Amino acid sequence: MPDRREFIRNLLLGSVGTFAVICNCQYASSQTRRKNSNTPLVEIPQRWWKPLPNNRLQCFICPLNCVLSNGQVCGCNTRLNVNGRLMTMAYGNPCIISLDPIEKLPLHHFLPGSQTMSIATAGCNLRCLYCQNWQQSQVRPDQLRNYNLPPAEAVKKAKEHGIRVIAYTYTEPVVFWEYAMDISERAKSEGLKNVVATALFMNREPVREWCKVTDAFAVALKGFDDEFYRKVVGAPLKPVLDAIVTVKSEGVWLELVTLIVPTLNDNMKQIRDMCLWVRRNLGAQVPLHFGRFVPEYKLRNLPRTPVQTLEQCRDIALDVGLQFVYLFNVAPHDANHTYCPKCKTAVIRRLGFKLTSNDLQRGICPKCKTRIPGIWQL
Amino acid sequence: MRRSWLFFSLGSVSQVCQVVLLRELLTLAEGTELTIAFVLGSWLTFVAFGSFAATRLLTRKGQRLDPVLAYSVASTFLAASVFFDLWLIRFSRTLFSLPPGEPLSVAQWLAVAIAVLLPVCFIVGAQFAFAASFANPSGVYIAESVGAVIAGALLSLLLLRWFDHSSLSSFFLALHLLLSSALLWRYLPNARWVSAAIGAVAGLNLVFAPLVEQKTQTAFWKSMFPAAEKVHSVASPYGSIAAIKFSDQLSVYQNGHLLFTLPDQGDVASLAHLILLQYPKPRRILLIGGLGGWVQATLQHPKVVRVDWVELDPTIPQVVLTLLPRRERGLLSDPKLRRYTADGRSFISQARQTYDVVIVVAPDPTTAASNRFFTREFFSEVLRVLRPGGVFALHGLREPPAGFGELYFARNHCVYATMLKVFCEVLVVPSSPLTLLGRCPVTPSMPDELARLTLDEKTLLQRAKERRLENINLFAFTDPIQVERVNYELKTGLPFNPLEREQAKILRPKWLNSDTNPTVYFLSSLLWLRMGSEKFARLLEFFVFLPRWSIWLLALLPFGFWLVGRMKSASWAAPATTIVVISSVGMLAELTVLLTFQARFGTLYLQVSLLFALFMLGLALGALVAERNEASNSIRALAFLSLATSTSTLVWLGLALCFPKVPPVIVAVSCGCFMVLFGGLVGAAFPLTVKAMRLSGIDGSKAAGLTYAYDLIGGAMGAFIFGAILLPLWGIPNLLFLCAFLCLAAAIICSAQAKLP
Repeated sequence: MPDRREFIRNLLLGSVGTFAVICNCQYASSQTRRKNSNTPLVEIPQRWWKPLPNNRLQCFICPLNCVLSNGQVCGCNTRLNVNGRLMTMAYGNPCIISLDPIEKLPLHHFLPGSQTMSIATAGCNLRCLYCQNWQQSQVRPDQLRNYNLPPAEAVKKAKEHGIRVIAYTYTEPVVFWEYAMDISERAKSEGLKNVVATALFMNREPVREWCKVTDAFAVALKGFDDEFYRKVVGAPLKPVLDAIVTVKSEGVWLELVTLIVPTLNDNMKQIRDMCLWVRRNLGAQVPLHFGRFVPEYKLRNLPRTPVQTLEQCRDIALDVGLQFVYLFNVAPHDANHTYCPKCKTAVIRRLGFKLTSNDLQRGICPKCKTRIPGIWQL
Repeated sequence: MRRSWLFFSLGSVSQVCQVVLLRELLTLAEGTELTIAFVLGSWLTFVAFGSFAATRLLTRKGQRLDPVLAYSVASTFLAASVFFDLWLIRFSRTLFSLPPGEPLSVAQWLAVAIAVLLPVCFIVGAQFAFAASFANPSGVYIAESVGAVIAGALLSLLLLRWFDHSSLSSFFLALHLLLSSALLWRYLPNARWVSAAIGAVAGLNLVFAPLVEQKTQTAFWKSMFPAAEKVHSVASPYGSIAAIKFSDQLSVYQNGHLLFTLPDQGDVASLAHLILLQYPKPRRILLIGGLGGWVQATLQHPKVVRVDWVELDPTIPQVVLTLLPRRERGLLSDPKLRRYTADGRSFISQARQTYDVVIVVAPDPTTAASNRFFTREFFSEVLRVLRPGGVFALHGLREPPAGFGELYFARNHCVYATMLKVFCEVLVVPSSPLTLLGRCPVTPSMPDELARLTLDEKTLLQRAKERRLENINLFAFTDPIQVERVNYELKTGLPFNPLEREQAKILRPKWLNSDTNPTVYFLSSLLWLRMGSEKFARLLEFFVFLPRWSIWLLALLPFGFWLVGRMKSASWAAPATTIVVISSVGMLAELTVLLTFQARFGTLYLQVSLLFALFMLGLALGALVAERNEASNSIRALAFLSLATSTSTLVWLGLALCFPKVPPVIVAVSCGCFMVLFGGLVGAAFPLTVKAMRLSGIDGSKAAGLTYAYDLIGGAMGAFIFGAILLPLWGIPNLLFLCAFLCLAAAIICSAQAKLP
């Protein structure tokens, strides 16, 4: 006859047993995935990290500046400390390989109409609540099924398929920066172009290094309020602004992208402040894209951004003096086109991501002969 | 026995609290039905704790607590708990500092659910113990059940249509408080001042209810969407509806979940025309859902003479129409439009006329309710009402914008494969969300160029021109690259991108989506879980790839448990095993009845209280009948009960599979009867097990305690493991077969035990 103690003991044993079964199932599940995903470990040059006592180290690639104990993974989910050395798990193992129009990044003033080979690995150093690629960005590379694509192979594939531009996008290229850099160097030597779509939450030194092998950046400036950045994006704003200015100062082509999220970053005063900042620090000719939010991930109970709001943002930006302001995720719309800042002729017409006409002649407006800034030819 | 009837309000208030809290918690979980299983399981567990604790309190040596006083005072705590719970649920987003639009994570939801259910259930359980101490326990059980049935019926048939949750709760709580007060006044004259105080609390309860409702609802919407103006909210029979105005948009929410936003910026009109251009001369259109742009576009398409528009929840059009601009409202009084308020599936299954085009605008299949529009059975019903060559369009399947995501991919492929089983041709339109087009077999008389579905822009624009349809922009849906991509991926299960195709090894479950095996719902639930808890979701994904036959390994569990017990010379192992099996099967059966009801009628939101109450009634009746059984026969009676449960499960399965062909009244009555039956079987198991335990040498109260514990374990297993995980994954038929076998195993064990010395 069981007494109370025996009953509780049996119940606890049963619970422990169940827990052990669950752990085994989890382990089996993760092992299955690990077998299917090649997760190499590549050492990162010591220029970007510093060893600390007790086998710890500090990474300086992004402003998180993670201090890692042995075996610990960075906040970006891709780098880790292996016996006092900083290694990356995101090298040669993209989880996304895609062919996309360049307008999708979006880059409207860089080789319009060209197709890119887009590459992304798992991981991200941000935690945006509305991430459109959360299933890839919020996990580690060893938790996904990946492809095997070393840098040389990536360039070879691009050339085989007639692609002239390689894009590092979808998740966050900052977290597979080493891989992106190696591909970029090889691609550059083979005459290919490299473009990056990034939130650029990165320290300035690595940004400078990156600019040497990159031809264009599409930077997501997600808002202009530090509280919004910390709460919704998961990082402070200032490092992003500093990184953007660094890109500009290095002379690399730059376009900015801001997704407008209803109630969170659609304050018109902040939009105006942002546009003023862009004008002062980057110049009136930097293209700015306002995007329509689509409910996803953790913000799926907010509606899409009203088009009226986006148009208001665009009006503010034009009013402040920015010359090239676009709307994306809204098509068809007149704001998809490129207009000559002088004579207001639509020199490039688009329908969403599709280029429908390009009247520019080597970057010159056919009507008033004004030079439109951008990179229009290889 | 007469005293027992004084406690019927305990059953009423318990039933009301259960339904109200379940509906509120469903809102927090965006309507995912997995939460029902958790709430039911937790309710049982916490009520048992309360009952256990109160019994211990009353039976302690030297204890002088008066049960009537304890019961009455506990009523006031119950009232306070319920209002605290409503406040906690509606303020939870603020408490967790969630930004607008972000739902609670799984862990946060669980924390709120436990915090909400624990106090209420504990007090209800304690009150039962106090009442049972004062009056005949069986009588109290029966009175409670009758109270629950009456409350359940009133809620489902009448009250939920007209009153909000705070008003409902306060009314029944006030009644409960007044009866408690009267009880105290009558049986404890020395405590009349307490009685008067409780009566006053009852009054205050009623006064403050509307204020609580208003404040908490405002707080909830403020946390969801602070910059928006809430223009209208109403409690519909199908959910809590709120219309929110923001800039030039009107967004409609149901149970806190965004349903749709108006206006649709022109995309919907073009898409509707694209669909109608697939058929030579579409005259009769059936539109299910799709308030706003869809209705207008179908009415404006040339040659259309009639549009039958079906909307399940009449409250939504009522709310929205009053808020739309006059111009748009006017279009909806077009004589070509006929409006019906009915469940879309019921309408189609009973439709006598046929249509040229059927358009279904469904929410993403993230709940069992919405999954009904993505199943094989539904597609077959649609095929029946389509004319030869008719076109079916299913709009609502989301895909991630980047086009990647293993779970989304597996889910969408399942829908595609299911549709292809029914329709001779399926074509995917790369809209957002996706639109799947299906076509009936064509007649020889149909022109060749219209015999196949097409997304060729030139062809479609030519047809539009012939119909004098101007200013439509089809590019977004006819971009050849996107069309080829979505169709290739959903059809083959491989990435379209050649670079990925070389290396892709994407696994997917090989099952179709059906009412009884809601694979798509399970995959959607995994997505919901993965957003909140990566590890737990990964564990459940493991089950997706297990072969179907592995489910039968569970059938060996009762034998294993019994054998271990025998090895330890525990003769109580047989009755313990049996009650675990019967409780878990009973709980699972209850959930299958709920799901089957929902599959047939489209919603559970209104009727769930009545169904729960019928189960409770069954519990009471079963317990009453079993009480009269001779103790010496109890182990044999348990064997017989297990057999009866096994048979009932199989009969229920057979009936449920026939339901699509049976009139709705019969379905509703059958569901009710089976709820009572399963409740009765579970209720009967308890006293029989107690007697059997006593026969095997365990003394009185310990036998009851042990039985209670195993009963709970079974109920929890049935709810959490069978109901929440295995049921959506392996489907109703497989699990019911397994349950029948488990009961048979229990019957064999009991028979074997009866023969042993």
